[in-house]
Formats: sequence, C-alpha cells, structure tokens
Amino acid sequence: MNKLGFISTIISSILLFMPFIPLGIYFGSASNPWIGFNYYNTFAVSILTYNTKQIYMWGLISSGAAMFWFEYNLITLIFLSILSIIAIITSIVGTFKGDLLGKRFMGFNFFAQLFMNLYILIGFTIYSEEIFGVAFNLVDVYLYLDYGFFILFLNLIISFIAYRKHDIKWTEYEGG
Amino acid sequence: MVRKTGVLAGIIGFLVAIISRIPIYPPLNLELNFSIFSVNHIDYYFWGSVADGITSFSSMNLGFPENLISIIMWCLILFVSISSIAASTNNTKYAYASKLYKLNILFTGFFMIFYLINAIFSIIHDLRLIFIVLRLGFYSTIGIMVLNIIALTYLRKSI
Repeated sequence: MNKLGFISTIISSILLFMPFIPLGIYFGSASNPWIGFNYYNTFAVSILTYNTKQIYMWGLISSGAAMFWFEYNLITLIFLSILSIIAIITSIVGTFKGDLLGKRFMGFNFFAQLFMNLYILIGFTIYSEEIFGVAFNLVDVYLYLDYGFFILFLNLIISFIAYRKHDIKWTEYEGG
Repeated sequence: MVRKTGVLAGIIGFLVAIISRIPIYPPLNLELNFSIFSVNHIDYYFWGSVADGITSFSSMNLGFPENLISIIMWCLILFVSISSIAASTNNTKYAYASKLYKLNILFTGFFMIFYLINAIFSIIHDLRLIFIVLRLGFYSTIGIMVLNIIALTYLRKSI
C-alpha cells in the first residue's frame, strides 16, 4: 500500500467535496443531546477569493449563492472538477495496486495535480473575464490565492513523492 | 505486525486536532472536552479558543502573517497524527519509522512546553492552580508522546 498515495486521495477528496474543514466539532444539538453534530469554527479550502467570489474545485460561491462549474464554466469543470474525480479514482486504485499499473495510476494522479495547479495559475488568468468579470494581468491571480491552492500545491508534492516511491512487487511467472 | 500504540497515538492526535467535545452522558453533563487548558471560562484548543462554550475564535482565519503560528501548530499536530499511523504499519522501513517516531516525540515535547508556558503565564499569580487549568488536551498530548516512545521501543526490539 502506498501511504502517500492514500494521503493524496484524502486531500483531493477534501478539496473536491468540502467547502471548508470543520474545526472544534462537538456532538449533540439543542433538541437532542445525543444526536447531531456541529462545529465552532471553519478552515477555508477555497482556491481563490476575489471580492465576494470564492472559487472551489467543485464550483464557486458568489455573494452567498453556490454554483457548480457545469452551470458556470465548462472548461473549468473539465480542468478542476472532472480532473479531480479522475485523480481521486486513480490515486485510490494506485494506492492498493503494488504493480506497474499501480505506478502508472500514481503517475496519472501526479499529472492531474500538475494540470490543476497550472490551470489555476494560468487558466484563471486567461478566463478571468468569464469567471470573475474582470481581465486579470499575468500575476494578478497570485494576489487572490487562498488556502485551497496551497493545499493543492502540497498535494502535488505528495503525489510526486508517492509516484517516485511507489514500490513495484515483481512476480516471477513460470511457464510460458 | 502493526504497532497498535502508534495507531492509537494517531487517533488521539486527530481527536485533539479536530474535535472539541464528545458527550459521554449528557443528562449529567459528562463529556470529554479536548481543551488544552482553560482560564477564565475560555477553553484553549489546538485550533483556537471557545469562550463560555459559545463564542469561538481561531487565529487561523486571520490574515497573513498573523495566522502563521496557529496554522503551523495545527499542521504539526496533524503531521504527528498521520505520521504516527504511517510509521506503525507493516511495510514501513525501520529507518523511516524510527525517524518519524523521533520527530513525533520531538513535536509533542515542543507542544507540551509551549502550552505549559502559556498556561503558567495565564495563572502566574497562583501557580498552585496549574493542575486545575490544564485539561484533557494537554494530557492527551503527553499520552501521544508516551505512546510514540512505546512504539519506538517495540520497533527497536523487533529488529
């Protein structure tokens, strides 16, 4: 089992499926002290924050209204949401496959992470007018990067190490 | 064989890093509160603080660079949790597992000193209150350290 691959899967899943990481979770509610769960604080996993728009891997929240990428920008849907789903699937399969195919899966996970990082840094500048309503200059996007991007960048490094360190258990086949 | 003490240390680490309270028996207000220390009705956790059980504050949500220390502390406890579990599996090489356990012991020792100094300064007028102020989160950190030391001992015996 590739442990770093497993960690990469968890990080990708958090970025794709959650708008924030709940902190200070406590159980029970006002009506029932046994059932329900709540939290005191949150840790944002948005990739970019520009004025009232928060950009996530799954979509964006604009002035409190959430939208998925498939109803807002199809190219971003492909490069962020779909690529994230494929990265999660390949990394989880690659984690448990200790052969050459597993290593290829981990390699695909790394390239998916690389494309997502590059799309955020370059693609968001190119499509800034469609997404943000304002044309960004080349380095403007760096000013609005949020925790989500840094987590994604960390995931890129983890996925690279997971790919390089992936153990292949060579088996000897007898006969022909 | 999986070193269960290391896995247990990892689970406790995750609880301390993310959870604030777990109810045991609500009618008697019996609960596990993972605060590190508590002064003037303010509970201090790894992720922030809660005043009177209602108002919460986390400096992780502040702007750069005010948030750096709290983010580093929180990431360190997450690292300790993940690496405790990762070092305790079957296929981990001796050298890597040994290094990870030693790092975990070092980081938990750092947490203990850091939060102990914080707690001492908050009750500097009467140091006898120290055992009242320190809470389950602090003792859990000691527990994580002890479990990592035990896991390291088992690892050394296994070769």
